[in-house]
Amino acid sequence: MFKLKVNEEKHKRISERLGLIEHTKYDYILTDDKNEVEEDKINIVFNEADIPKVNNLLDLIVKGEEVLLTGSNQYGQKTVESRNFYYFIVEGETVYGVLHNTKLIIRMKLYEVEEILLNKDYIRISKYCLVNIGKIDYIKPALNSKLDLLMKNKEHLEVNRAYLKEFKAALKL
Amino acid sequence: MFILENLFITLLVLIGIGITVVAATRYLEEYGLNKQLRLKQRSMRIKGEVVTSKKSLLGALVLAPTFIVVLGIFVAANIGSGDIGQLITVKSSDDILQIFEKYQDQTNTYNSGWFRNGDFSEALAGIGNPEADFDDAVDDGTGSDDYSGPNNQVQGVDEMDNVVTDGKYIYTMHGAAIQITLAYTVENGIDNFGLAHEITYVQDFDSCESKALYPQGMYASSQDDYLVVIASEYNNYNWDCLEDGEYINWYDRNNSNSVKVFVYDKENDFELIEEYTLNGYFTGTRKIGDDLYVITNKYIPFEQEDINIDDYLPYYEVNNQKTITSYDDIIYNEGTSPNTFTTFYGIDLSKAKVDMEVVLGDNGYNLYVSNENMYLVGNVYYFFGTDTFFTDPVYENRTAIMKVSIDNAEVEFKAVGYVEGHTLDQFSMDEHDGYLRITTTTGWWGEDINNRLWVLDENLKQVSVLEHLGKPGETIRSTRFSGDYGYVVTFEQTDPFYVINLSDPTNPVKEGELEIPGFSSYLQPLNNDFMLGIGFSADGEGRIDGMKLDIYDIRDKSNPLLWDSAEFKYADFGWVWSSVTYNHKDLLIDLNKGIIAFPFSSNDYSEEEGYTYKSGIMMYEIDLEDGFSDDYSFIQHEENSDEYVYVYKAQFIDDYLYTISNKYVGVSLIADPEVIIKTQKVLRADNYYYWYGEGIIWD
Repeated sequence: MFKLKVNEEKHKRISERLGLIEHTKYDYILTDDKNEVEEDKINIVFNEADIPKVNNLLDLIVKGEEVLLTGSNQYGQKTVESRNFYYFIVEGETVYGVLHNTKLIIRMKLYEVEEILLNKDYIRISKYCLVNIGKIDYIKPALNSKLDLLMKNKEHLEVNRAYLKEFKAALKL
Repeated sequence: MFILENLFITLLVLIGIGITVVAATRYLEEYGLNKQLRLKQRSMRIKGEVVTSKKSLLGALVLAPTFIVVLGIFVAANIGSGDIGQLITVKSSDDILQIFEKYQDQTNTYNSGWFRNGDFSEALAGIGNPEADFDDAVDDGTGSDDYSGPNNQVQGVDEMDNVVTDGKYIYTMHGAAIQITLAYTVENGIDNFGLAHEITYVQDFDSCESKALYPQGMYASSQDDYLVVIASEYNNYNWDCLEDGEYINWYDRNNSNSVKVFVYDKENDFELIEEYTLNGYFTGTRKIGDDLYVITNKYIPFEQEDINIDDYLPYYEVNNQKTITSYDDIIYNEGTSPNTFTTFYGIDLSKAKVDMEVVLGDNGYNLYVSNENMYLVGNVYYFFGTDTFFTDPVYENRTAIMKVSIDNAEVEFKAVGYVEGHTLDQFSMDEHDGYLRITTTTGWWGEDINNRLWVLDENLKQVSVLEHLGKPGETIRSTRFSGDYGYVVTFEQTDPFYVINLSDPTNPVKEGELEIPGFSSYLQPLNNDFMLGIGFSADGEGRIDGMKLDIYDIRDKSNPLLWDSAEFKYADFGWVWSSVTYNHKDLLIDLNKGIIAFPFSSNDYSEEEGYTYKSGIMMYEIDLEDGFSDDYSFIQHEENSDEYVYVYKAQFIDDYLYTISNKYVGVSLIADPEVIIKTQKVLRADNYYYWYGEGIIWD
């Protein structure tokens, strides 16, 4: 997580351009104040015009190395970046990775997929389903204390009561 | 007794209250969860996240009574006939609340302004009382009239800058301080070159809550006996005073943020003569003679409970005398999101008189000012308000143009107009013979992109539009208007430079075009025959491979030619960079002196020398017979320095060139610019970005 320490006028602009979301528990500081240099940190100086470059770097830090998963459907085998999956679901004995309008059979157990995607903002919502937080469009509390998730591909998923606490915790920054 | 006698009614009421409480709790939970989801997704750096609001039955249950009440009020107050673009004069705070609630209901969106400035942002702590330090270095001599003014878009309309000169002094901004260097006098030349004065704005970083001032820019001229400093004043909270996990809602701070205008007497040791407080965030400013114009915007936090609009009314203060706008003076343009007060201030500096015009609506981002009018453009979610609660609203993202006339520091709202697409910068607009010409781009990639040039009349109604400028997939990279002609550069792989004949406003015609690799991100006419382009060179496949300066020969409008150019290839210099590619104020060009100068940095690596970083002012001689000189001068302040010395501005007075870095103000002869004769040290810290991260390798 980041913290931006520049004057307010720049703050708005830079944080928008860098797509920053800030937090009290930060690991990185961006500032225009030389006095903020901390002894045990590596200091990097960049010009405002390099913001696009720095933006890519921030992407790399936050998103980390992309994890590729291989699966197959009727057209053959495909390797897909993990962030493109909407969710993984167990149907019968088979694990499916669901993409925007197709699904791939993944030859792994769901807990193995979960382990691989540990730092990739995926969250278990039931015994059978692992969801990509980035692909949730809207959350609606249902009357039975469950949560209804509208995914960005218009599908609906349900957060099981047993996983509710964990799910809410995962949304926190 | 009533309860006992009417047990059934009481029971019903209790059940009703119970249902409402449950429903409200659910709705709040739903709102909270989705707000958290958006923040989470933003923190995951998912591009293009748009906050959408879905209809919720629970939400409807909670809002239904409010909706009915509001509906009743609408009918009573007769606001909201559903007309699009109708201007409404507000009469009271209730009107504003009704406008907001109506907008919210009709668009079915919850106001999303809460994320704009970052809920979780930290403010710097400080205190903001201007304090002047006096110095003995005085020269009673007079300054020269031959000096470089700001590189204005419109002749006569001054733009503020971080470095300005009036022919005698050079004024530079360093954090919260203004340094004034005596640069030149007619009597003594540069003999007395040196620090003349410093104005500092004291900041208190220890208090939990305080105010801090940050200078934004300055105006100075040999015509004026005063210096104008424009600063932003913020309410600051000390991060250390907060509990872990606690944060400050930015609108708590937002309300008292202001733009400060300080006027200092040049003849009297820079004594503060006038102090203006203009409520709101800084949006833009211009100065014409003694008339100063400032625009601010101020977000209205409707999401706060029990909001009292009275507390958010824009105001100004002249030497601590406060004037608050009255509701009668606020204009609302129906159909736009009423989340912000945009205030246009006109200040007559010679009389210390302020005029203001307040518009309720979305705020703007690009400001263009002619000698007669200000035009502020911004994105609006414009809705067609004919929906019922149960149908999807129709609204779209458009560019709104607000037109405010200016005359002797009097400001008057004239019109609002809409065009599709977004504008690139202030140069996307130009006023000529009462018509506004404006270029926009819609879409982001592929076939969807449409680059347009619009001509609008004085009421901002469309007169004509020229569509599909550029090849498929290209976007506008720069625009400049000059008299009857418009010049537009688009780019994806190559740089078509279009010449558009606007002599008939009803029928703009693409008269000529030139295609060359790379593109110009800034255009500036040198005269009627030649146009300067500053930008990037590219190889045949559109990959940017350096920086370039071009001069286009536009004598034959149907056949523009590349007349001369200067290129800085990455292959020769390593990585090269100049702020002039996006900030026209960093360009110094004077055809009488025959010079063009701009900041230039390069970063190179060789096995022998390792990494080398260079920053300086790149200067060419220029004339309209031979173009750029073959050789250039490169003015550095420190060579092979261990410190970061960034040279960012050049100015001239008489025969001298002044270069400004984060460490020095240097003076050299224009005829021999690389030899710096004298320097004055910069007293305060510089302003560049430092970024710290453990284990990050930058290459």
